[in-house]
Amino acid sequence: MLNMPTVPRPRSVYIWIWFAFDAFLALFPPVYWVAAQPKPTIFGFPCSIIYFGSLGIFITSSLLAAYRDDERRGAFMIPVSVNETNSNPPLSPEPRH
Amino acid sequence: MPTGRQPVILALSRTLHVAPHRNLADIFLPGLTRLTAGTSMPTDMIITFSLIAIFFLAVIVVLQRAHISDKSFTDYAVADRSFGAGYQAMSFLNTWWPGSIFLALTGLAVSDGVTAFYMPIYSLLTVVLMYVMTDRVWLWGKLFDLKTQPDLFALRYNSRTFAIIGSVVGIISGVPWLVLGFKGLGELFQALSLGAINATAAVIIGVVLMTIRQFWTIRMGMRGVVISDMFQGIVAYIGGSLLILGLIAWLIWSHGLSVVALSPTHLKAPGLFATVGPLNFFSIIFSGVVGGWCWPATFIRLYTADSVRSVQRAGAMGAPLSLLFAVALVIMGLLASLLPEVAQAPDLAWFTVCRMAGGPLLLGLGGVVVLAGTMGNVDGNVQACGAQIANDIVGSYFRLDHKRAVLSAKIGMLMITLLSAWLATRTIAHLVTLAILSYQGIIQLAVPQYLGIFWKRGNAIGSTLGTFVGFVLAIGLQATYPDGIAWAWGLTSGVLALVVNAAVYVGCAVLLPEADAERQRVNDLFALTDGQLANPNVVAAIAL
Repeated sequence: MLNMPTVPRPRSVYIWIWFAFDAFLALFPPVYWVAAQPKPTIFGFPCSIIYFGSLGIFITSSLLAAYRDDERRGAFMIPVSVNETNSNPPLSPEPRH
Repeated sequence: MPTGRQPVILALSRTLHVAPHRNLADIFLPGLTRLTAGTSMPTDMIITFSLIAIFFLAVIVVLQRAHISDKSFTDYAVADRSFGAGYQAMSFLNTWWPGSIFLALTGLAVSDGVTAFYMPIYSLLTVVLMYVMTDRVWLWGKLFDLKTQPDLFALRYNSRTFAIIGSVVGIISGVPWLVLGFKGLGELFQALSLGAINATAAVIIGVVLMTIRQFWTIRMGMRGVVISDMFQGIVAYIGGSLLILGLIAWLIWSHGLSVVALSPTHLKAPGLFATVGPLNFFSIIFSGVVGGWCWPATFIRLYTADSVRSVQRAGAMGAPLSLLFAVALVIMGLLASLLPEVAQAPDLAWFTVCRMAGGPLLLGLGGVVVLAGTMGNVDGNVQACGAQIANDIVGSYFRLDHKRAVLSAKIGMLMITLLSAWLATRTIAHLVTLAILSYQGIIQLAVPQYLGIFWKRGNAIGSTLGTFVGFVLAIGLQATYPDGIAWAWGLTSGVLALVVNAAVYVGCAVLLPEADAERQRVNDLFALTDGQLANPNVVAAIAL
């Protein structure tokens, strides 16, 4: 019997909020109208350089946090092989690399 | 292939000055004459071309040693879903960032300043999108043996017709980009020859080299593509990043350059009062994000992984490298824009800086990373086209066993390779326009793709009609307003068409009656990825 067991718990809310902020900060026009400008300078660098650099780090961090959250909540403990059944507890994790 | 890059295409187009076809003697003799003229150029060329040759041979050795006979069409098309996170990450990067990006992104930074940052940003958002859709896409792929993007359409909408439409759109849209990829190699070889080889001869050399390389793509299918992606990816993105960081250090310490010295126009993205419109910057980022997974070569990566974990881990591994690579490339372009030598020819900034910093050796290494990136991109696209031709077009009309399916894919790949190679040696009017048109068209698949994955209500009629209307509208708007749609505040033709496309899709979903059996089928399909139990009978009933 094909078995699709319950995922332990849903992805954390803060991850979804973080992803939403990723999109907001990159796509909401007033943000880049204001931030992607030469001035003011921040730590001696033009505002636009700081904005794009920080945004890239912010989005990358959200991905790392999401992966860490998924590992913690056991989201990857999902057997999908047709040979795996409920009679094989505990759920065997998918291969680690 | 990466998307959302109209400015990059235009930058690339400026570099592709291929003369009308002439005979081979006309093409090669001037260069040979210069090579034998006793200058230091032959020595420099020996260095640059030797590095290219060593890299090419290394790729061939990797592929030869990795050859495994395929056991099924799934094995050939998606490598039997066998790759872990490391391979996935490199494979994605190698498909996402083509070799021409070294020229195009630095060129864009030189000419348009910080606007070039739009590419690193939308590329990262595309990985976020991958992260949230992977669970459902991969699990459906595993359960129903999906191998391509049209396979997913067929399953979700219970419609082979829409799958065929999606497949044809994907293949046709990819050809102009493949031709551009082949032609881009001409720029590489001309730069590595230090001008000794003319543009047409350089394109022919590039086409021949890339066509030879495709022998292993056709022979080994996806397994060969992914394994070579690992090697090519290490060279292009890890080696390339180190090279870029070294060049940034050289620009700072040897020339005293700093981003603070850039002109205000270079430090400003298109804003509220920009001539291109206040929403243009939003538009190119948005279309890049949603369009990224519409390309067959990118989407098929989701099915080569051995688990959801591998795909998502690959995203977490690849994103920092992608950030470092692309942001550093833009910074290098910004700094290089302050050099008079670079400002004269922005689109050659990459090669100019490499040559200035390290002579023929660094120029050769700069060429190797470009070739590594180009190989991965072209291989991935050729392979995806072949898989779709066999699986979604021929396979829709004929029942194919393993051997015939693989043979169909190989013939498809061969045809695509030869067609693109031949077209690359011709002078094609409006090739860049065709590439932009195809790009604005293919992103129309985003509506049925994402709404189909995240929403249960969409149906086959809405997806087909919406895509058709969106495709025609995008092409029409792009053809009518090639320089931008003045009344749309900077929105591109593709984004405007997406709005109409989505309206048609949602309208059909809401207004058209849905059969109980189809509603139940879609509910069961979504239930499979919502943590509910399913049995083989349900899976068999859902599958086409």
